[in-house]
Amino acid sequence: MKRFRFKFTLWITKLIIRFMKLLGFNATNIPGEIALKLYPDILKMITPPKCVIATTGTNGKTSTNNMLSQTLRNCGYTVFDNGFGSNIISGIVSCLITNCDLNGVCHQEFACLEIDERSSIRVYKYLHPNYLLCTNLQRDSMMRNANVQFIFNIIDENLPQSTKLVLNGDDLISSQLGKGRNKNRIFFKVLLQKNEICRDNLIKDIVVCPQCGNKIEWDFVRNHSLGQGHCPNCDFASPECKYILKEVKDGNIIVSSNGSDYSYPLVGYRTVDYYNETAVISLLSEVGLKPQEIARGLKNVHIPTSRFTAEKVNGIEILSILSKGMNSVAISSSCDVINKDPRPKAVILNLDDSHDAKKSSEMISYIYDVDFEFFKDAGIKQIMIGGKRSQDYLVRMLYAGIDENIISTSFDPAHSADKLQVDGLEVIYILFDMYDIPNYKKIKEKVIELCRGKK
Amino acid sequence: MVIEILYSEVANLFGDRGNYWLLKKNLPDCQFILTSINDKPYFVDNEVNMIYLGPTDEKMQLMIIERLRPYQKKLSQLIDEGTFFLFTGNAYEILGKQIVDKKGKTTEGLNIFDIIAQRDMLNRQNSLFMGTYEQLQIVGFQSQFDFFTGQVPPLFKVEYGFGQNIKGLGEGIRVNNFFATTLLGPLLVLNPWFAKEYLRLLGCEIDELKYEKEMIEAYNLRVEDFKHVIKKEH
Repeated sequence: MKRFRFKFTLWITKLIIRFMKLLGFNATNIPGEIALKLYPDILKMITPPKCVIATTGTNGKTSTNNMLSQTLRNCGYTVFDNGFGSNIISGIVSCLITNCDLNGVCHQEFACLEIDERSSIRVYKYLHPNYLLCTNLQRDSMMRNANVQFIFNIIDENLPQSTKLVLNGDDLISSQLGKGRNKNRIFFKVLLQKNEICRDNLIKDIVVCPQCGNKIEWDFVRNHSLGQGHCPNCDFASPECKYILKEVKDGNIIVSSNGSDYSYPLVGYRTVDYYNETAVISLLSEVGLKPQEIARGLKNVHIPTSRFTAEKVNGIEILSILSKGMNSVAISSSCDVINKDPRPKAVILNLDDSHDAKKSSEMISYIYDVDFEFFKDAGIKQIMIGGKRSQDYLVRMLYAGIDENIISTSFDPAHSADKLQVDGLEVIYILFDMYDIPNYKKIKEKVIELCRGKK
Repeated sequence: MVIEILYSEVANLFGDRGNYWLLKKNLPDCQFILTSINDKPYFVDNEVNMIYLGPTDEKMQLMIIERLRPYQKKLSQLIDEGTFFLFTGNAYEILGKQIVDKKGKTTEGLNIFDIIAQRDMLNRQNSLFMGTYEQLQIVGFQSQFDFFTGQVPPLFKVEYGFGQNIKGLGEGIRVNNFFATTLLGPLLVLNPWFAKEYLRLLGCEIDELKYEKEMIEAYNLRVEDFKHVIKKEH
């Protein structure tokens, strides 16, 4: 009976997926939701590939998961992933059903699954990944994720003991996952690079030792709570790392493991890209791939352009950065990028989270966790803020000590760029929220139009 | 004037540091004491005019309770004597009798107020808040795992959002000059009229808040927006 119910659900769901795709839908969530309604334990019945790699964490999990699957594919392995789909349980179910045969068996060699932190409870109950990679655990949306400790507990309490953990040794929070329970834990880290500027951010989610309550002493802090630290009172400390990114040089990164240095092509130029790539190298090395094979696989890997795009119009560079709304760490990182760019510039912010605002009105308190102080004295000629909450951003900017004469607001996000004056600018940054792409496109069109009209 | 900011390095969730910033910007002559989690609170041996505590996570909350337990009587005495307090988010919970988790774990609080915080970690409750403080319209956000049961005088009247015991008509706690609210925002920045009133009660009447014009404009837009959302929902 169980088997019949499973097959019935599987086939119905496969039909729904095919039908939705014919109609031009992604079919990433709804089929999984239906399958879970018809058979709540369906995840237990599907036979996953021999190697399931799960990627989780607050920031960087989508990029890292994509990088993992692309690298494996480039190496000639058969892989499927949920890169274009949902990372909650219904998305995972849709993804597995899409990729299994009519008996519920996945024949590919690898599944690379990005898993939402909060979905750990439901996913790991049925699906025991061979490897779990956690990029980091940082402050995120207060509505969805409350606080870092809450998210840490959710993942930690639901981790299958058999899963090998690949953890960020520069993150004193996520590196504690599975401590004392999972025997297989390995760590990676990124050494401070020559001339790298460290940041003392507003938020640091670990300040005191979780074991004894003493104040943590930091050897260095890269940003937020990423860095190396230890407790002066007990044995709590950053873990020993097996994989270490030592140097970024001439378009390559040098990663050492077990006393040997290996060179890999550099995939992205931001610190976050270094972390993601080192995580991928660490994980694939643990899977058993040789450094040369990984290097070959990384050669043609690209970071999705939807997150960070650059184009030049009439001598002015337009840089668009997708910034997860309500995620203060992600937005602060974007502010940091802008701060470090020495060119005369303008910044357009359109960060209203229309997804959040759909049901009610956006919760705005997180902007007091964002380092808008990085905009002060950073060579910014104009800051244009768009959206319903633009006045709140203005107040926050004033609290950050930014000259009010360079700030303008527009209630209608589509008109954020209307007051842009391009003369004297070398670069224009557009920070936009992932749920407001239509307005972003309008803003960008306007920016391009103004740049083209520059004398 | 002396204002003690308790444990700001760990009790700073959800942007509530903005409350401290507002106080600092508007009270340039005030002495601000930032007490670290392992330091003895300044109020124990010194006179303070106001004590501020912001929201924190559940683990740190336990640590804060233990750090303050030796000074339970002193805290109680300060509340009775009319010292000003502002506790935001889940900060007030430490002063109750207990924090009871739905899974069954119970934590003893400082037992200053006759309330019990009921916690359900699998059920995060989010809401906009609209209410009043005397004649002033108050707006803010609520995002919490906990509600409390028990009888204490409220701080705000609820028009929309969660009140005491979830559905109560009053929100927060007001005992003498002890002000506590679950509202996030930051409360003082989002509510400039209330901020001015609070400062007046504190004995620091000021004609105009720093960035008052911009704050009031943001406040007016929010009030209109919230009214629209609430009307739509009804």
